[in-house]
Amino acid sequence: MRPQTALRTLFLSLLTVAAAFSAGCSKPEGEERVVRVTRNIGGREGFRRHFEAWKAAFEKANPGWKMELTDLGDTDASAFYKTRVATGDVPEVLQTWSFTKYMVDSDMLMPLPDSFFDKFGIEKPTPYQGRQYDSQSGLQFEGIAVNKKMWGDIGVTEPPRTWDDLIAGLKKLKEKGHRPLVYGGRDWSAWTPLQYVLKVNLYDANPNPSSPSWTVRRDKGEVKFSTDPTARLVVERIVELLDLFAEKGALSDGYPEQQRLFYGGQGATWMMGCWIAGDLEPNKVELDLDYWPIPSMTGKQPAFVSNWHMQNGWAIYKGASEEKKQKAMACLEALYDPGVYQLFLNAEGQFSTALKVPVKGPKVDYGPAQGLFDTMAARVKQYSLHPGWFISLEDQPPPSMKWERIMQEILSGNKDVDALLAILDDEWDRARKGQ
Amino acid sequence: MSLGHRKRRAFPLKEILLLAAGILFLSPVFLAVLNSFKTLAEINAAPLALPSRPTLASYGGIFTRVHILKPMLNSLLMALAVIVCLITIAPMAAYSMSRRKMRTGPCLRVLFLSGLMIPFQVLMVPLMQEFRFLGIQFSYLSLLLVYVSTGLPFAIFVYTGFLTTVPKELEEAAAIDGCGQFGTFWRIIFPLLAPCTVTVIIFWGIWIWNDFLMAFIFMGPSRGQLAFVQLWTFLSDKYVKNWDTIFAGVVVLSLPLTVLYLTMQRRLVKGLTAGAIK
Amino acid sequence: MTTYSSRPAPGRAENPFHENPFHPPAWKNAATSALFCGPAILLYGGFVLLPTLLGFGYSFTNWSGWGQKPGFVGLGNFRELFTDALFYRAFRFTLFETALILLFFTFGTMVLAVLLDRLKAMKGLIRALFFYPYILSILVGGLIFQWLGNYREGAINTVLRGIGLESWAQEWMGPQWAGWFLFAFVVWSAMGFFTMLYLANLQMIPDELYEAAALDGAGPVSVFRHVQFPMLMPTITTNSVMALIFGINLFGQVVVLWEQPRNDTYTIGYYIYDLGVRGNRQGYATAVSLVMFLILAVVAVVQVRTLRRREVHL
Repeated sequence: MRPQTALRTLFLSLLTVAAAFSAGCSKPEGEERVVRVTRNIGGREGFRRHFEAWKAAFEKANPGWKMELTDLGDTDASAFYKTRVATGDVPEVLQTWSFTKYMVDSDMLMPLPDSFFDKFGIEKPTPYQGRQYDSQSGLQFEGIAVNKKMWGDIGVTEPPRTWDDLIAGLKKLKEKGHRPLVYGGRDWSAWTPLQYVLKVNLYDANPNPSSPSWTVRRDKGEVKFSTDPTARLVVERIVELLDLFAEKGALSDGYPEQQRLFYGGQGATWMMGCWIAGDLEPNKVELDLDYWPIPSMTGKQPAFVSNWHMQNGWAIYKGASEEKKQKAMACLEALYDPGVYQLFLNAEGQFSTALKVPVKGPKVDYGPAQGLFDTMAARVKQYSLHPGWFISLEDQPPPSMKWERIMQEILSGNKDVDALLAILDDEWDRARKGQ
Repeated sequence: MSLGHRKRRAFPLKEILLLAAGILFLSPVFLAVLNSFKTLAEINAAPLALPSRPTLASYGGIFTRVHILKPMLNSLLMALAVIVCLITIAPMAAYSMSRRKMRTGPCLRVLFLSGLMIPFQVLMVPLMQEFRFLGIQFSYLSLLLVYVSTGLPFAIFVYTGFLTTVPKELEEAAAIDGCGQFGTFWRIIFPLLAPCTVTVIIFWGIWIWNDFLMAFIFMGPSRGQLAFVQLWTFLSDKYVKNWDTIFAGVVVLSLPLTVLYLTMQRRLVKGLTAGAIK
Repeated sequence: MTTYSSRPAPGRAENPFHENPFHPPAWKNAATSALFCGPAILLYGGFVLLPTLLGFGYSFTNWSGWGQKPGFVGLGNFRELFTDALFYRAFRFTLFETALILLFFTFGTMVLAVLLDRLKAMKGLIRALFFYPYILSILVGGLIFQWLGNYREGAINTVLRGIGLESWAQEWMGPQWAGWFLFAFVVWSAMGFFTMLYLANLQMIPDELYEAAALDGAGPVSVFRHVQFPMLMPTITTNSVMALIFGINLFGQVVVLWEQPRNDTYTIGYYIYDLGVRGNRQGYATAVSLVMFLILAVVAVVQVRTLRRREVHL
């Protein structure tokens, strides 16, 4: 009878397959000489090259040990880390992104000794609860990428001194028929212009402990977006910026679209971080680009925003065995092997902060990219670095704050400054509850 | 299922219209497939045009950069195992709860129904802890259990629905014949539920194949030997969209499912219903 | 209809236990029930119900989702939910989408299934065309729709401009059209599922019914009203409940289409995800899911009960 034999085969196959899988379920954990590392790679060739070099350097210096990759982006990492914490099976070396604070508070991370930083001449980041937990990457900074040819068309070759000058320049570009600004509201990149101007206008360029930051004052209730005149000014000028220069349809543009426009030579200005220089080679970009600091709205000097004060690199899982923790340390040290460090800086477009390592900054074969790196290095010397709100882990806005919400509101037609300021306050309060 | 219309439609107008609608409906995918034969530069430059020089470079990229073959095999095996479990366990339970005399039947039905509504985030962490308690965390077995258990509400719900179309006389006749409960079910009822079984096979197969989240959480990316986990990090990169690899990946990954669908569609349904109803 | 056998009932010799085949003894009945239902209940209870109960327990805490010990806050989360403006906004949007989804996936797909059911030529091909988007992972579907819906260079607007309908090119992801665009994406990606269920049900309709209708001289519309529609009730129940659940929990399509959806286009499902993953407020997120689950459970059970009563039982 057909159903009968079918049934028998079904059950047999069920048993076989179940058995096969159960066989795969007993794997001795923790016995192996493996250090597991999380790192985002995704589609980025530069990151892949970096990891391979890092792995090679570690395995060479630690014979018998292997380095195993867990490829994660930061959104997946959140879910991943949380479930691993629940089961106690966490990789030994962890990329921490913006979760450092949560991970330390959950007692996941092992503090790093001063000797580690001294060995490579790294200036230590601001401690969190008195300790350092993360390796430092390089110097990453944020500024404005510009197409030299287009700006040259209107006679501008040096960065604008003030925000008004910037707006005036953008207007002239528009009159000349160029696309003045590349901007999109669909994904995270929507917040860049807003964050830029908040960081350089609401926060001090030289924070000191006796003068509390805007964040601290906001959390204490001494100041709010709705009542702070600088915040009001910022929001007004941002509304103006989007009103004049954000195109219809910006809500459907995200980072990839902006990148395509800018690298395709169809936009004069892109407010994005220094890593974009690392993407010139994969995209075969041959434009002549400059990188400018962010002009102030409150009469201060233009400056680049950098986050090197923040603890944001790789950390070591506290719950690993002593032997594994030692090897994890060795793994972190391998990061500063000159060849590895060079590849890291190249991929991320960052400059060196490890003074004892004989690598100064990105060095790539691709002409246009190296040209941009050199330009960036020169501009950073010319202008200064501003920490923005990257003062310390204890003293920054809630990491889950939704800055892009305000920008999307503006793009949707909401130009009421009071309403927007109220939204900023509302979002801040909401996000603070998550800490 | 031919029906004796008095007027035979000589011109297949309906078929042609539906074909056109279908092609329009699927046009975005056709574009994606088209673009998988272009280089990245060309995709960016002219997304809607025919490839000027068709190339298989992106496909090469899929197999060398993303290492997709073994994961695909693993996904296939996993889907097979889960489906076998589901189509044996679920119909029995559905039958028992809706047809046999069981005082707790309706109550159980509601219980299973509620399972359809549970969002995954709620389950995620406690399940991990449970697997750790049982000592099977990060194994294929744990993922298998997750897939089967979360698939049960849907399968049971669908089977319960279809069971109402099975005439009661059949069971009574079988009982007269001396068939035990078990026999009645497997020899008579189950074959009648064939379309339902096929549906569950296709749907759950697709779900498992495309699933990223559960495979990722319960098995982890380094052991991420399931197909979509491999492609995910590629697809969800915030900065880079390697459209050429993505499109090639789309084609490669959906081929097995397309094959599954076409074979299931024609052979199984025809074969089982023809025999069973008559 | 079918005759299984014309043999008489077994006599004593063939039925040594003197069992009435219609009413086996109670213990045997219970044992068989256990055998039938057992595996399902064990698996479901152990790996779905139990973790869910534990999971929902977190809704009474202020857990961040990370390893810290959660602090008990009693009904605090629920009180906060009551005054959460963003929750209500998301709820309204979710209801809007759910209404569309419910209508389309219950009735629209039924019409399509009926059309696809009895085709004379290219049956497999045409069905495959409509089903294929379901096979694609929504991640890929989302990328495709992002690419389609881009205002400046997306395929839709490019084609519209190309054929001279410039004014029809819209900001598909803008405030006016976003909800509809999302709905279009949801339809595109999930239509195959619901249509397939209807098709499966249609195939179980016995030919005799069609033959009888043909003898009565019924045209296609009449056949639909009197033969197909009543027989489709079980699937109407299934599909409408699944559509309801799908709509209320809608999350995947939102996140792949807009990596950072605007507040106006938050669904509850996305809100819960956002609270838990990005906002690090897993306790509060669980409270929201518990409330939604309870609402959904009540509505779904009522829906099933009402619809099941109307089903045709052969």
